[in-house]
Amino acid sequence: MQHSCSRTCQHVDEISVGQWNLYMKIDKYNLQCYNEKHDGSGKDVFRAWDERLDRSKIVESDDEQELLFSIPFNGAVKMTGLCVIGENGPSHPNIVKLWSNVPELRFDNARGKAHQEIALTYDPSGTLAYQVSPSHFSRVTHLSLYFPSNFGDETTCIYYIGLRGEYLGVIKSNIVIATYEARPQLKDHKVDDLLTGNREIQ
Amino acid sequence: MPLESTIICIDNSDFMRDGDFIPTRMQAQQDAVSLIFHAKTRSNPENNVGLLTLADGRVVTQLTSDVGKVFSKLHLLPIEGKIDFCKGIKVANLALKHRLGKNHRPRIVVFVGSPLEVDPNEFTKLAKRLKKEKISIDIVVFGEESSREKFEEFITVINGKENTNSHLICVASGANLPDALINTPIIQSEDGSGLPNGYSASAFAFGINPEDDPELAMALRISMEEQRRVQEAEIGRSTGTEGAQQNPPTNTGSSGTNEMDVTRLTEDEQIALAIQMSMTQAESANTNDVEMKEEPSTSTDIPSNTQQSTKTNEETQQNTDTFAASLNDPQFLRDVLRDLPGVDVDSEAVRAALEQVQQQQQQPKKDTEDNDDNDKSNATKKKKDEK
Repeated sequence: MQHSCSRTCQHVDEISVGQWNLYMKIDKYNLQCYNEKHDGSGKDVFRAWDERLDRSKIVESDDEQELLFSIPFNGAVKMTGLCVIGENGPSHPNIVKLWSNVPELRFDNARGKAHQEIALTYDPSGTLAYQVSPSHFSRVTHLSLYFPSNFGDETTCIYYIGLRGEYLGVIKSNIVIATYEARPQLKDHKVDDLLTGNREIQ
Repeated sequence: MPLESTIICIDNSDFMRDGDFIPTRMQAQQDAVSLIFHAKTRSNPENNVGLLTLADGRVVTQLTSDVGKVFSKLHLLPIEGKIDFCKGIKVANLALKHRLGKNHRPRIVVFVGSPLEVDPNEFTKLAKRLKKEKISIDIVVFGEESSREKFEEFITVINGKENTNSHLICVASGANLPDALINTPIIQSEDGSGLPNGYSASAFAFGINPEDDPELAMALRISMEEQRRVQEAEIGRSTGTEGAQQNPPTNTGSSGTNEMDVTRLTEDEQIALAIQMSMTQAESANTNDVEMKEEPSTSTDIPSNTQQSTKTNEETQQNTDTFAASLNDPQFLRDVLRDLPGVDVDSEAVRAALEQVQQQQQQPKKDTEDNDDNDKSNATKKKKDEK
């Protein structure tokens, strides 16, 4: 990630920008961050690689140190790397637990075993990239990130979360078994349930 | 119009047998639940609603958008026991966690109409947990004032500093629960959609479907409320003259049933005059009452009407302007008549009488006194004839 020009160069690290762009495939409307202090701040930490050092966008935990991100994608994604930027101090998270394709994951079932657990260290500038094992993360439609604790502060602060990987495309719908009728017969479509409600077209 | 999954928690404790909400608290709750269901489904047809009872923490209906499933169970709920608020909320939380619509925003609507017995620590912990899981909660407290502060604290904890998704609504005893909810954030969503204008919780209240003609329904509703207000004001002012008030109703009532076509016009005239006369006189309620009550039972002939009215005329004549003014109001008379059994307000006789009243309102008092004198002489003549 570091290149060999002088310190004042303006080169954009194009390789990294190209790689860390899974944020574009996140379904931001349905992205949820649980236990965040300010509603909506969790969405801001998923942004472009060259904006990673922006200190204005931060997510802070509200009650205790836990933070849980529930991240749906717009299709299937193959994830290979994770980067977390926090404070260079005790509010930096020290562990992250990852689950793939468990959209109903909340705090009580996050206490159990994760698909992958990574121990984090201080990273205030995004220099560290953690490898994500391909066993569970080769075809992800929904990612859950759980930060249970930090290095000692009352609340956890995160500035940026980067996801590296490839976009596999939209999920094809399931195989449909279809019967074609030249002329529909009512006896072929018996409905037992008399309580079927009315559905209005509005 | 966000996608929402709502669990409605109903209080089905023994306190729901109370009749301070008409007809019972339980019925009022059921109406309110149906109102909320329709509001949610109308704002987004994919919204889901489920039902839960607080007394035993039992999920009565799973989250569904089918109205039949919810209503069939709603009207079969048993009333028993005491509510366990924390257990109910925890079960609702669990039901929402296993909802089919994973992208739906979860919401709990709780009706509480009985005293709250809860451990304060557990209560606060529950609030924090709901906040963490981003579950919005609306609490409707009805008929119960004791637990209001506790719930206010609960809502404050859940809302946090900036959030306003959770609400507390208190409805006083005797109010109409569904109507009280219409203007609250439970029904009205943020963009002001909610229910269409003129929707009455007691749908078909005026014999018309509010959806067909919402403006008409709204107009009817407004006029009903105005009437009620006017009536209450008048009844408050004229408590001492109740006897005199009864004169015009019973007069017109008895004459209304007396359909004699030949003498109808004169009958109406005399009725109107009788009304005028009774309006200008004072109370002596008891004697008037006795006379009036004997009146319809004995005979309903025209001469007897005038006889009796002259009698009342001969009584003491006080004149309270406001009372006279209120009785002169044909609309007020109409309403009073409407409340009497056996009176068809729309019958021609009554309507004609009221028109007469309206006409005579415009004439000064002098004319009425002249009429009184004429009538008196007529009556005495008739008396002589009979004798």
